[in-house]
Amino acid sequence: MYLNPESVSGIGVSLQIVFAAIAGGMYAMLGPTVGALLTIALTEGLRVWFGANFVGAANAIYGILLILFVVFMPRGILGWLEMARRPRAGRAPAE
Amino acid sequence: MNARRIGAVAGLAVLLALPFVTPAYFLHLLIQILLWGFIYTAWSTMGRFGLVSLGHGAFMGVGAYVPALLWNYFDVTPWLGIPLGIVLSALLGVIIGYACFRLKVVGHYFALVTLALGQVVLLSIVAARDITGGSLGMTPRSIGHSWYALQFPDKGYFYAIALLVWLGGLLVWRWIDRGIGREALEAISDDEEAAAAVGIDVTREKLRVPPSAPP
Repeated sequence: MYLNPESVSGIGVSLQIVFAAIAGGMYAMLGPTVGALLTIALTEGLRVWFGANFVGAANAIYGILLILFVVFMPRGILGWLEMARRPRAGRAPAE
Repeated sequence: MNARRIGAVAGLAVLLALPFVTPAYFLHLLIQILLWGFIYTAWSTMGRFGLVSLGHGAFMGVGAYVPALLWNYFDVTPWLGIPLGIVLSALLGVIIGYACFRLKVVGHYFALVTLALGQVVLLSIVAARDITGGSLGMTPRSIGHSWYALQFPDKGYFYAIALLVWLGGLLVWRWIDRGIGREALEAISDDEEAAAAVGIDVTREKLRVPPSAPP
């Protein structure tokens, strides 16, 4: 049990929240949870595979992915799946 | 519709069974996923209405430090400290939301305001070094296994708590999604105050977890 200002209020945390919610899909109930799955898996994966060699790599990857998501999948993973399931409905109204 | 319900029940059953079959490390990850999933859900309650907040860490900071400080200095149980932390961070959200709402601060400017808010809270915590330990962080006083202090020797307890908190977050999300205010929120992204109040409330709730879950 340890509290650190950077780990609860830091800019990195705030941006990670934004990234994960957008990536998972903030218009679907479980979207943010999918985002959590993604970010935790990514962070842990990098940590396990690269150890301390790539400190900050996760954030760099978040940044790149965030741009890709906003451009290609603005509704996130779940939003994209939802739309893929009923293609004829076209774009959902009112983003 | 029915398939959805069955899916939900099955999913919940799996989540309930997981701690009994998962090694400690993966259980830790599951707790993290549930907690962060909760935080992200809270953020989404605002984000989906165009209220992009880049400073949700501010509410996490208040939520995490208020119970921890109350516990360390005044022996106030987290059972009181956490609700107080929620109230204070919700209050912070309402103040910021109200100001932005009155001044018609929306879109990019709203994001900048929240960005600044996050930094204000961060720097305040660092500046109050004598009380909060500054950038070195702090550790809530440990007294061993205790419901009173919400301290448990086993990850399973934290998993149960995280699961409940996460489900609570989903309920709030659904409540807003089904609520009468949704159309209004979607139509007028003016309603920052309401959204901020709700969104932050949720965020706050999760705050009980930083003191309890991280190693």
